[in-house]
Amino acid sequence: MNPITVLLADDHTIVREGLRALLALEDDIEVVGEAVNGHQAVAFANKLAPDIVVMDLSMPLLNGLDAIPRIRECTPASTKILVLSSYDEDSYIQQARALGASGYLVKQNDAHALATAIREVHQGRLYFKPIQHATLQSP
Amino acid sequence: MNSIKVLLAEDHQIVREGLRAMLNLEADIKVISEAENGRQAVETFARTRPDVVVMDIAMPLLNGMEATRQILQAFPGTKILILSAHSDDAYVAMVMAIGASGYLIKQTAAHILPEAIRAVHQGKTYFSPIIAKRRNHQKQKDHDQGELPGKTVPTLSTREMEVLQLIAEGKANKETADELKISVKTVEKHRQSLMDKLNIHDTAGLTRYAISMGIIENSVQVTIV
Repeated sequence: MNPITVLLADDHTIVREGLRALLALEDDIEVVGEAVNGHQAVAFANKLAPDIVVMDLSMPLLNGLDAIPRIRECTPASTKILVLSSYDEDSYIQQARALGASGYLVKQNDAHALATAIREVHQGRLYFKPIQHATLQSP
Repeated sequence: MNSIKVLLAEDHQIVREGLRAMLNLEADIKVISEAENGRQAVETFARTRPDVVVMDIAMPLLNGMEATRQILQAFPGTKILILSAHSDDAYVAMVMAIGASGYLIKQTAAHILPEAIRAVHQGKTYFSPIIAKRRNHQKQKDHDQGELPGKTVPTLSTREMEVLQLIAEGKANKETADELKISVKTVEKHRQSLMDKLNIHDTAGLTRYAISMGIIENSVQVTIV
């Protein structure tokens, strides 16, 4: 089976590379591109037509919310958008959904939740369970 | 050779896991403990005594700047490497004045992180390349102009900073008192004192100040970028 292709859009390089390292552990997921701002996310989504765009909201030049409809315009319906943000406010979740995102996850989640969300939206399901936050246990 | 023991303090679990996954690839670095807010970082440090702390600034309950100050107060000479989204010079200068050993911005490439951990472990200071470049440039300029570097920022006490953060996070005086294990009256006293020092006299203003200082995250910026 072909792996699920992913475009990562986050302006923090160290975060993006960390996500790439975590997703590299999943056999069925392949990161095919990285974008550092909303404009790049739109351009790369257009060029690569990945299965999933994993996108931060707070990015320079063009923020993630504004990038959602533009990505929707230039990609086939098979390209799904999954928001990965620090913000858990309902207003962002609802806006992202209304603008055409298929899922929303907060960064307080673990890597397992990200892989699960990627598979779910790839299957054509919606994934809006942003707050699955397990508190860090003291060792 | 003993590996360098690291405490990772970062409130976003997925980011923390990513950093750990990358650091695990380094033979000489071992992540021995993690914290998801500043208060936990201070406690976990005392319990696990790592060689180097990698500290995010914007964390709930107690921000990384205050956690850094508290760790250094209790354990002078501790190597703390700041990891922040903020890169402006005044901000970097303020954090370094507290006694941090290095400062990385999150826009920095990941391969710099192990390099920075090794450097601060050896007692050196380390900055993201872009900050290092600007600092050198600024130093030269200050030298040429014969001026003292840095801006003056009002100095808040540790308690005042803690109270400021909790107010900015929207906590009531009672909640703040419970969190800090002090009386409501003492919270009010600190609140008054920090308002006087900052010359800001309403909660909205304090929240804006906390955001501008990078100690709480600004979800509003998404809409105004």
